[in-house]
Amino acid sequence: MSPSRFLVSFEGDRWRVARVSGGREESVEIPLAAGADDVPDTVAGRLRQWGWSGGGVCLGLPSDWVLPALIDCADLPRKGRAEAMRYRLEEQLPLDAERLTADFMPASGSRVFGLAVDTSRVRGVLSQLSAQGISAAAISATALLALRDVSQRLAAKTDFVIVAGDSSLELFRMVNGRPEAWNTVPHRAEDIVQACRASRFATHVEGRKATAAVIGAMDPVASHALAQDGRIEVRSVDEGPTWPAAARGAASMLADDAEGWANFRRGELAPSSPWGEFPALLRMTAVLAVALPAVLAAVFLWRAAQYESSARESHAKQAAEYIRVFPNTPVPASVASRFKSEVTRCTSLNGAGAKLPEQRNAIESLRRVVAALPDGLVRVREIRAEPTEVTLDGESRSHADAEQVARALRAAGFEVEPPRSEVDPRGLVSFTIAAKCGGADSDKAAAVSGPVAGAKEALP
Amino acid sequence: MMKRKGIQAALLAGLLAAVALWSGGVMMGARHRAIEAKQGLEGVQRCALAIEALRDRPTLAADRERLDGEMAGLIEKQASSLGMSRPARISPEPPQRVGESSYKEKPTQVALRGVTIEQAVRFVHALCAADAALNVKSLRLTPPSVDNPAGKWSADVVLTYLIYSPRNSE
Repeated sequence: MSPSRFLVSFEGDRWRVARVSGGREESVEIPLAAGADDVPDTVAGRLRQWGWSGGGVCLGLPSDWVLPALIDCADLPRKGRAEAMRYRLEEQLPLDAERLTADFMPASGSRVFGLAVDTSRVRGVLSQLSAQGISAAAISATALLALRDVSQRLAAKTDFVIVAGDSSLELFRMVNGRPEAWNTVPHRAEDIVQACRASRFATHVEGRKATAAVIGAMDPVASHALAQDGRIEVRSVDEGPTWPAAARGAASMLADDAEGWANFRRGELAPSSPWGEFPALLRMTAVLAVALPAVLAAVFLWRAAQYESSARESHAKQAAEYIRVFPNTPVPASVASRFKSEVTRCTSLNGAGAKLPEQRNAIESLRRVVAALPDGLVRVREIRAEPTEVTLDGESRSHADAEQVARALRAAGFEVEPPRSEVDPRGLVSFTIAAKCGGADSDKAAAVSGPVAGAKEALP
Repeated sequence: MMKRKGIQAALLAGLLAAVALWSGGVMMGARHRAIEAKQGLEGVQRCALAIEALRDRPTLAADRERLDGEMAGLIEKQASSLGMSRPARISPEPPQRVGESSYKEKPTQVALRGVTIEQAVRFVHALCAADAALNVKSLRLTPPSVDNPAGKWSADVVLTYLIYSPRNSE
């Protein structure tokens, strides 16, 4: 279902609000109070009542607000053509070009049908509508909107279209389905006939009667007078009121575009920025509310890019360091953990870490024991040296000699139990002495002991 | 109309605020990665210095078990350089883990016959000097018999070296 379209038209002594919805038109008249010229509050109320959601409406202007003129553009330059057309239109109008808002419709040949309105006058109406929250998406003459609607249904050879209003008739001279002249005449029969005759001379109707299509209810006397004239064939297109055609024309203008038909929502009457309708403080707040996050987002993203660049640089340096320390090795995904594991490995292999098991050398224990043995006192049968203990099996002449050896070892810092000794069949004393390496004293003793070379090998 | 435009402006501001929040998150993520990468680089540079220093130090543990031939060759070479006869026996033993540590100890029994104490001691000294990882775990010296006091001694040496072998690598 197509959305509803709205026409808000000013008709001199009243406002009319019309809606086109689902192919049906309806309207309501809102009379102006005596002496009042403001847009009544009920206009917005009526729109809302009809389900208007705030979209742009079409503003219809009374015919006497619109100044038409046919201009020839054959000799106008391409550059600045629109401005030149406006000034050429001004030549035929009683207002300065600076005060006008004009639009043009293509006519026959190089001619253009120009229409203009007093900018300040229309702007005043727009401001009043805006104060009620109503914005106009298109602005045109109400009669022209009705013409727009019926023009699609006219016969090709229609020379005139008469839009019959309440107080006057709008007489459009048509060429190829497009208006080329527009006169507003009273409902008096003689005026209508006179206007048609005058307008007919400007057309190229030869060898046939001119044809006129009538929209709306025309005065019967005037209609009869035209028929009696014998030179114009009159036929009615739509005998009802003209507002449904105008409403349809407005809906058509709002639905597609107004291309080819005059729309005064341009130039100085063009819609301003939507922000322009907000109060200044609210506008500033809105601008800040939009600009601040946008600026923040931009700054954040810019900073993020810098951080990413820094991270990439650090990773590249890590890779370079890896290649330097581990040449001819592919760079792994995690360089840092590879370095850490390599440090752990190196530390573990060369004992720099505290986890390397203590390795004491048995030769050192042996050296200290041999250095401590008294000369010529015992014969050694076996020495078993381990890092923390040296066991000495030997023979001596007496138990006292074995004890003397034990004392000598104690003096050298060893922990020595009393030696086990016994007399063998030969009369010698066999003994076993176990010397355990002690702490600081033994280390000190080791430091002052001599080399093992040349140690005692046997008793004399 | 104004209400509608106000809603549109509020929606736009909300959308941009969401974008700002998102970009703030992106920035914080990038910042975290940049700091992590910088700290990683500093750590890598420290590790590189440590590795270079550690590589200059003598190795006290092997990162793998040596081949039997390697060890035997080293022992024979040292014996030969001291003018000793060839060792009577070289017997590698299977490595054993040292307590709960990340190391294993690999023992090799070496039997020397007919040597003087000086030769035996010089031999083990030379081995330890040639390879800082080697250690003499035990040394058993047996003198000549009473009947032959001028004879040579027997020496049974157990040489060991450490192998770095973390438990989780097994």
